[in-house]
Amino acid sequence: MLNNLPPLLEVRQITKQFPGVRALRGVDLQLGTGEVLAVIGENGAGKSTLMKILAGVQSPDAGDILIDGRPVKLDSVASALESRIALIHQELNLATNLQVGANIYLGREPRRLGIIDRRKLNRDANEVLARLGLAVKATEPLSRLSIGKQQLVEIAKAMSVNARVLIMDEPTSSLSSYESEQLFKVVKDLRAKGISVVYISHRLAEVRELADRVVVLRDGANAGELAGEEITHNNMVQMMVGREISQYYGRQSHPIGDTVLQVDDLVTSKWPKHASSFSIRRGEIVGIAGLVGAGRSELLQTLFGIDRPIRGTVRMNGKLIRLKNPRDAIHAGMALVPEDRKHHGLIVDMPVRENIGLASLRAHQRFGGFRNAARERSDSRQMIDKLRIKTPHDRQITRFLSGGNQQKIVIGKWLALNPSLLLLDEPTRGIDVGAKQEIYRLMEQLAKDGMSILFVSSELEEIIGMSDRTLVMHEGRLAGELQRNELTEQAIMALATGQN
Amino acid sequence: MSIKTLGIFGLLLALSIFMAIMTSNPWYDVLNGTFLQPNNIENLLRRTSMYGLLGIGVAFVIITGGIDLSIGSIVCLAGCLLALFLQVNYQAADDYSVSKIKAEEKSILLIGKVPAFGVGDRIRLSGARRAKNALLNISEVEQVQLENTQGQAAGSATMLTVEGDISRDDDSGRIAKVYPVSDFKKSTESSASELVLDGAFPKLRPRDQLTLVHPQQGQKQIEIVTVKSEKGSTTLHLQRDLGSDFSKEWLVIPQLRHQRMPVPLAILSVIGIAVLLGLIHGLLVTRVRLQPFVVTLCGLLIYRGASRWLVSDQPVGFGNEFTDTLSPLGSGKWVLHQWSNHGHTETFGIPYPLFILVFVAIAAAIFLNMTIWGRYLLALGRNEEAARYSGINTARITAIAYVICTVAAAMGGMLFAIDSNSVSPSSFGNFFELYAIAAAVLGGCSLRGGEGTVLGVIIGTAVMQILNNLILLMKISDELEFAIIGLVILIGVISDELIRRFAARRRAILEAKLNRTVSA
Repeated sequence: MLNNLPPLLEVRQITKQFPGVRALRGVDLQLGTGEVLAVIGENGAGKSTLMKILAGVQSPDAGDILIDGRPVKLDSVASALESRIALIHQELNLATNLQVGANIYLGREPRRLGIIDRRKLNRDANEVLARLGLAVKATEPLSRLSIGKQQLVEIAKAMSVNARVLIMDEPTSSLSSYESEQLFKVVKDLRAKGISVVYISHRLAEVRELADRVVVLRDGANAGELAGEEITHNNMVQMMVGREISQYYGRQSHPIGDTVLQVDDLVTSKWPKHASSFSIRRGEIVGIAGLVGAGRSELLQTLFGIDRPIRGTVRMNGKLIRLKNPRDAIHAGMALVPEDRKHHGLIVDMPVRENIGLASLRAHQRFGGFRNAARERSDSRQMIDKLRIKTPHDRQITRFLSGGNQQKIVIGKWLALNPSLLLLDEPTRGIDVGAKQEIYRLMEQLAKDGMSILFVSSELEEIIGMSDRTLVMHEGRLAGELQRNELTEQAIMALATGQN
Repeated sequence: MSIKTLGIFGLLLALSIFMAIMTSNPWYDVLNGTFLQPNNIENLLRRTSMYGLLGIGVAFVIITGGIDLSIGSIVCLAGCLLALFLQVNYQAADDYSVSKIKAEEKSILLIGKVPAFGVGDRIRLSGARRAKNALLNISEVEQVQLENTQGQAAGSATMLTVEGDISRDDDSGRIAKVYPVSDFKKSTESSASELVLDGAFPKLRPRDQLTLVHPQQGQKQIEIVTVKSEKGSTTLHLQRDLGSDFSKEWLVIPQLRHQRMPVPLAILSVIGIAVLLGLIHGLLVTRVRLQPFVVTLCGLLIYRGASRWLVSDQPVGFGNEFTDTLSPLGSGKWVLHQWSNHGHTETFGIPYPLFILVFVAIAAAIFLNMTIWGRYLLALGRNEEAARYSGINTARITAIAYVICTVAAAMGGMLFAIDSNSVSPSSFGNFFELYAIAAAVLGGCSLRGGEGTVLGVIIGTAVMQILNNLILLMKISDELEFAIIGLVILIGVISDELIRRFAARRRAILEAKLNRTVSA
């Protein structure tokens, strides 16, 4: 960039396709020596996929990766490390039962006569730690370090292979602000030592502080690039979003009734410092927007009785309800379609019929505990028809159906109980475009029939397209509420990133 | 029938045919082989029934994804408790402990007011040092006040003055009242022996016993069959003949029968205790979140130790006390066919425990397949989180499974105890948990949870029993028994794993074909 030398790392026209989704569509990227490059974009914009390709975790379908101007093939983590590129995952990959030094050299322990040369290991580890300016000894047990320090040990681990390029995927997502500051200092030190950093973050303030240059991805393609003074909050948001909302959601207006759900001062166990209050009315579709980890799922799970709230009251149709377990919530007329379909939504080894019947068995029981098999059969047939679940028969094992059909089964399970409030957590995650649209139509239909819907989505388009009203969460609190006519991606992102 | 059940059923058939052929000589005369002998089949059915109960119980726990290692110890505990609860002892009707004997004065001191003895009554002194079962006549009864060394009143006492032999060394023992026989009839072909006593004996009931004593000719014990009281005399029908030497010189000590609990109460108490223990297991697993293996391993040790302590590590049984009531439940049968073989009658029938098994199996199958809780159980075994998210009280259902398991084990334990009539607390039920788990695994339960059928478990149990039979009939040394059982469990688990892996591979291939969306 500064001279005519080729950039340290260059990515040309990288394409990566997953079944049903084109994750990357010809992305370009250049990284100079000693540069901090931020890669930003909405959830699902393709950032993580790009980073995984750079770290050799996944290989691209098409496109070139050049290092010092020479094309390289990064088809494994080992080959990426050989090219001195190291990825620090969002989740820490450390063995907390080992010492710091052992973690840094895990799998690459210096050996003498086949036995780990502990002295050399610790000496080398201490050297790396010192280079990072970390006041941590190699012999300290990792479990005694804070999460922030552990994050820095991850960096030390990357440095120990002499990485020239360090990729950091949302490194501050679980750090306190003090720990984040420490991390920034280390990143700046690394830059001063000529090491390049690719920094992925949702937190635009961090990006502004650290990045020399910002590459914005949108829908798997380059949306633009900002450098130096151009890196402002507004510019970044503009580039991340900025597209038309299509008519594909098919929302119609219909009358909205009385308050169904009234939440006052609800404090979830995950975010004990923030209380939330809001209400939802009959026939209303309310979206909850926010960044990953903003506490949206926790809010739904607390409402549904899965997590115990610290305090707060929840009223359904004016009646105070207990929130001790999901049974209470179901009894009060709630239903939750969870984010993690395979672990929380379905019993994937059971047939379609049994999954659809699972939640309503109790309500339809006969003779004090006997299963109403006829009702279960008719319910499952009805749901398969109504939700257009594509399955050869209702005794098919659920595992073998596509994500969209599985999601419809989860919804069908609850519709068999005819709830008055449907909670949906990322209802269209991991399902194909056609099924998405069917789910949007279903939401519209249910709302029209008088059901209230509260849904969490990380897709801004979906939030804007579907909701009558949007609650935006930022770090565990309700940062704001937007009416349908105020709903723009800019407005949501501003609230979601903490800009009031 | 599921494929797994069919598979194990095929194994059962194959084993049976193999056994039938291998135990007959010549080989084509299979019907006369040892294996198909009526008593062998009966025995197999009986054992399968009892072990089957344990298998059905543990299957419930296995379906939750847990394990119960305490079954063998529960079997032992249930056997010991039943024997304890049904313990019978006989005590002479008027039987008192002697406080002091003064040989010179021929006086016997009893603490308290004892109205049972009058002048002229005969008593037997037993447990004294010298006078073994001495017969004495009471010549005087006197109520006295006792004083302690300070001369203060220390309660009342009864002083008996007696005629007869009391040695100087005798200073303690027990005395019991003896009665003369006023009339008797030895048994004939048409009637049982009969004994008539003077006076009314309102405490005597059928099944009480009489101790008949003779000053010189020793004593005998006979059970009473009926008691008839009329006009100052009591006629007793006895269960046995009085014997040729019996005369009116013999004296009678009525022995009252004390059974600690009525049979139904005893059985219910054992089941109640089993419910409690199962509940404790369940709560430790679900509320305290301990691993089932650890909880029930501790149970295994605790109940074994408790059983040994309860019965002082001595074998316990039921003697002949319940031959008509309880014992058939374990060792009786419903005779279907009767024939004569070389002069003695042989019978073939269905052992009663099989009826219990069928009853329990039907109840278990109904619970598992037709109630909402059965479905909950299968669901939570496969995916506990998803079950919880669907509003299922997974903790309660899991606890119920542990309760079912211990109750089934206790029922099996009682049957085993009744059948064998002897419970040695240190070995009774040893390794039964492994038999039960092996049967459940063979019968199609996956140790990962969520899978299992009642029928499969019963067939699995039958296979285990036939294997046991095989070791016996083929004269394989029984040291190998555990080795063979171990191999069978291993094969069961290996095939479970291989089938699963095969299914997973097929699933992966299928998923690859489907356009499954992966989030970028």
